Amino acid sequence: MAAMSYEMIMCIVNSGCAADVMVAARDAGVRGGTVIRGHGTAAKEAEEFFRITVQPEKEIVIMLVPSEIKDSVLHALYRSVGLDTRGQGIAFSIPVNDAVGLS
Amino acid sequence: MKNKEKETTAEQKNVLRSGRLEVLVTIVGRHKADSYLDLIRTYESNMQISVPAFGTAGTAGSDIATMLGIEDNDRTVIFSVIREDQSPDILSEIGKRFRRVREGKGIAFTLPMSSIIGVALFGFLSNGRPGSGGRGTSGTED
Repeated sequence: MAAMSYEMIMCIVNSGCAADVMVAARDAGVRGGTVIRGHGTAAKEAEEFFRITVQPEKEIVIMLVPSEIKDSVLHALYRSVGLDTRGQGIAFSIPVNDAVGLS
Repeated sequence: MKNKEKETTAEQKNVLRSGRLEVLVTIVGRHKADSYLDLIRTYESNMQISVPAFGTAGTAGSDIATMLGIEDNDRTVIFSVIREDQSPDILSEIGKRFRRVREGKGIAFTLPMSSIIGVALFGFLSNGRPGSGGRGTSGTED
């Protein structure tokens, strides 16, 4: 059982941008991540109103990080794959109760 | 004012607290996923979703493997709903398997679940059948 406290960071980006997520995350101290392919849905009206096109194919990157570096990782992701970038990413963290398998 | 009090009492009546649920996330190699699914199932987990994924963790050795095209990045992410009281046992057993099984390495962690609606759904997720030993008494009545 891990003694440290961890957070799960989830970053949802446009398809093909998972590598950018990992580059930014590695720079902030993350060791690895897992990528799941997903399909995004956005309100058509909102898309038209804000003049934004939401690419439906998404990649979800899951990373388990020590709580101390969570903020720096989220900032790094915001800068490199945030909504204003090609990745149009959103990132958030969820607290982890317990974890195993981290060496 | 009285109506508000009545509503609050009714709400409190419908919410029964104990036996919280957690989401267990298990990330393992794709060819080993079935054995972990079976293991988690033995801990009264009635709902599991497995999703194909791929890993990005790099090691010194894996650069060469990538160049040769023999790197195995295929992973499966298993999302399971488990009871909080089962969580230490499941994590400990999964941890043991990570160490014991060849090429069976991975990570597993639990996330808190804050609320759920529906007694039947809660009963299903917590395996709270009468006489099963499950402690399914939390949730909101529908």
